Amino acid sequence: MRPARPRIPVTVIGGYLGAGKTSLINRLLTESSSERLGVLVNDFGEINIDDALIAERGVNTISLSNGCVCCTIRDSIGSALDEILKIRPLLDHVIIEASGVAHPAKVALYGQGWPGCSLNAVVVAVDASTIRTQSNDRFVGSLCLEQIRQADLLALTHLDLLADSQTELLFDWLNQHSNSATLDARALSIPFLLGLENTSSFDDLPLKTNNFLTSHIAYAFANSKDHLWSILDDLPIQILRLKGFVNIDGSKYLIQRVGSRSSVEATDLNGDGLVAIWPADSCDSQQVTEVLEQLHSRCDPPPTSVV
Amino acid sequence: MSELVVYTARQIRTMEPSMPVAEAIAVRDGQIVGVGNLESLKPWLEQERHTIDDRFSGDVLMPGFIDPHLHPSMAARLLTMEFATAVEWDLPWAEIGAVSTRTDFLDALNKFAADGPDDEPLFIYGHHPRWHGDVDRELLNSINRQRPIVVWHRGYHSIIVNDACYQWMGLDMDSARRHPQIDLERGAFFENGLFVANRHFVPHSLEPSRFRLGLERARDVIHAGGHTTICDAAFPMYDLELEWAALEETIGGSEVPFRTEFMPYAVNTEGMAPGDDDQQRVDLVQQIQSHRERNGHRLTFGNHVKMLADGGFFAELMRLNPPGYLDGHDGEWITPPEQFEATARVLWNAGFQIHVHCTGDEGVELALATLEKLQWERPRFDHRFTFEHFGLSDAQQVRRIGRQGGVVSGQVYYLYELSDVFGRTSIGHERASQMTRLGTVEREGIPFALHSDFTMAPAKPLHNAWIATNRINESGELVAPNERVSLDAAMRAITIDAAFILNKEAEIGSLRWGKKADFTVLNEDPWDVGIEGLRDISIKGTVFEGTPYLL
Repeated sequence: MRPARPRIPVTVIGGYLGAGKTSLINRLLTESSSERLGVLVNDFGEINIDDALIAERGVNTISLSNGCVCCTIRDSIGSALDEILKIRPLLDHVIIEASGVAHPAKVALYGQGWPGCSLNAVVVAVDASTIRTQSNDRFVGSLCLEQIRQADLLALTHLDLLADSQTELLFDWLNQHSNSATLDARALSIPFLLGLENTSSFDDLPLKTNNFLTSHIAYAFANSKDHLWSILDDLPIQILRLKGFVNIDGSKYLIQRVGSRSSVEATDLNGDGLVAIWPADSCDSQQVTEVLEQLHSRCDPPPTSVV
Repeated sequence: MSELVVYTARQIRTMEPSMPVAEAIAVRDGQIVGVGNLESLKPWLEQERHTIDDRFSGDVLMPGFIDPHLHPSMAARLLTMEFATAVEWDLPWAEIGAVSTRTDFLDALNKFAADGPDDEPLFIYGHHPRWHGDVDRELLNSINRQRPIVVWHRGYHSIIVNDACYQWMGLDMDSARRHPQIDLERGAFFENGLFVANRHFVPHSLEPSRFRLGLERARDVIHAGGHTTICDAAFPMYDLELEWAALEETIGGSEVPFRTEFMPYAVNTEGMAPGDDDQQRVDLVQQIQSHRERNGHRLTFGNHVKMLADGGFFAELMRLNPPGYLDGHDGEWITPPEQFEATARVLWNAGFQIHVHCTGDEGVELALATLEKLQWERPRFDHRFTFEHFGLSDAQQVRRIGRQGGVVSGQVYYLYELSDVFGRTSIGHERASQMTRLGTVEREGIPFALHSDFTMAPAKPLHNAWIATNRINESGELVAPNERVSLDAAMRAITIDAAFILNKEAEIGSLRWGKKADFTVLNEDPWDVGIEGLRDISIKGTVFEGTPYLL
């Protein structure tokens, strides 16, 4: 049984027009099986869901047979959020599609403080084939760069259109303009963004594992929250996800990191250990392991309740 | 046919260059039959039954004032609040004048709080720390612990509330504590935090009887400003049918002393701009045109459509050409530029008169570049593509606007209220001092109107004309004197040229045979008092389609 969540995690998907937000959202909606997803979109016109999957179609909402719900943002994001938070049983995760000209960090404020929500991450979709040209556009260049800067995680679309040499140039360019982890949008899934079922690995993820590396420690301890944060800050920025549990003074904390956004919250959930995942070609295992080992090699003995 | 009524006046300013002044004006069935004096009107008077009405014999008559851009429905929300502002609003139903010291502000709060029952939430608009000092939750608690109190900042973007308000809102304290733009200790909600509060306030202010009260007050403010024609420049603001029903009831009736033209948003019922789909384009055009079925005597939809380029001026979200803001933040696009162009093309090719909300010089650039592109693709004459607000621009852009046949509807209150503070803290003195560049617009021969954007600024055409001709800001500083407009141009901008922007110059905006008998009654002649005295002229009332509505 899934543990009850006091607040629904909210992921914001931003990015300029044509960056691939809608395709990404379409895929997340239809792929979702165990997680019931609520999605706020700017308009239904773009959302392309197989009729066979649609359970009910209302004026502002579409319910899917897999339990997901899609809702249009009409007057305001707040009122659309309120609509979707009314649904019982509570949805597992809410995705807000930021408008193409929105600053995703502003939309993220809904996750941070709207009643019933907590912010999971800001994902910004980037069209790998056009972003460098777009960043020089007369009217939207600065906006596109700002959107990239505000991302916790960059999801690159249309990477398949690039030759290897172009990909390399693109990554160099992204490194200059962002401090976020970057992944191929095709690898992004709800379990990836949120999954907690199996904290010992990311095996359950539909990833081509040879493209990604993981590092895992069975138990993690820290002296204090400050100490924990300083270790988290040392992790290479290429880490896409980190999840798991850390013991501090006999209390258990849930660690969630999506791209560059980390959260540390006291938890009653059962579980131990930490796992991190990152793209294989972005940094080597030793770099990550060295940092995580600092949590493993604490002198404090494990509390007896943890076996 | 009814008999003629001949109004005589101390002075009649016709706004017709061929006969700029007159002494008498003959009216029948709401229409002007002739303008001149009792002698020159004789051929009519000898033939028709008539009465001479000399009630205005000590007054000055002008064509009824026109505000081509304001927002009755937005005003309705604000006007159900109590006002305590440093700037005078002269509200027809309230005795509160300008509140410009902390003592006066606290007195006003105490008076309002004691004035109603404890279960009636109290909304007060107009707090400004510069005049009123700091206000926080504890202070409001000390004024009244039982009654929910909400104090709105003058600039709309933040509020302060008391503990009783937290209770009334049923605020989720735990979530609010985590919101980066809510400060529970101070009772402050700002920017996006305000959305959390509005979630509780909007249903309250849109409750039908309250919303109607607000609209009735908006109606009285509009009348008090001397208007006989306005344009609601963004329709619908809330729920289309509910809003329309309330508008018909409050400003649609035969007792209302002005007419309202509506400018619908360029989005269809789903709130969508058209994509690449032909059907969506047809739907959008039909959707906008279908509003015309609502047309009545007072409320009409013509050929106007509203588009939005960049963000709000008061909120410092207008898009700037380089260099940007002093603090490095970016303005915002309301419509993505590609989508803006695609939608504008559909509307242009369908023959609409497009009005673009554009506040910053980059917003103006987007509208202008789009207009240039559309002119190249499919030239149109006399399209009256309108640059609305026109907060920031440069002189070269103004020339291009003229060459493309664009027209301007300018918001001069920006320069009155913001040129000083924006110069120091937001965009630098040079650009700030040249806000609403209407002097250049006049020199380029481009028709322009003045608007209030009420409630962004008071709905007072003569005050706007005073700002446009004097360019003296709130701090008393003369800013960019070369951008002052002539008295004639300013008076045209609230009458005949405003009519031109609304494509109604054949019916209203000046006084000559055949036009609507709409007058604004003044105690002084603007040309006698000169530009310095414009804002001190009193509005004594209006005549709408021949019927006097005195204040």
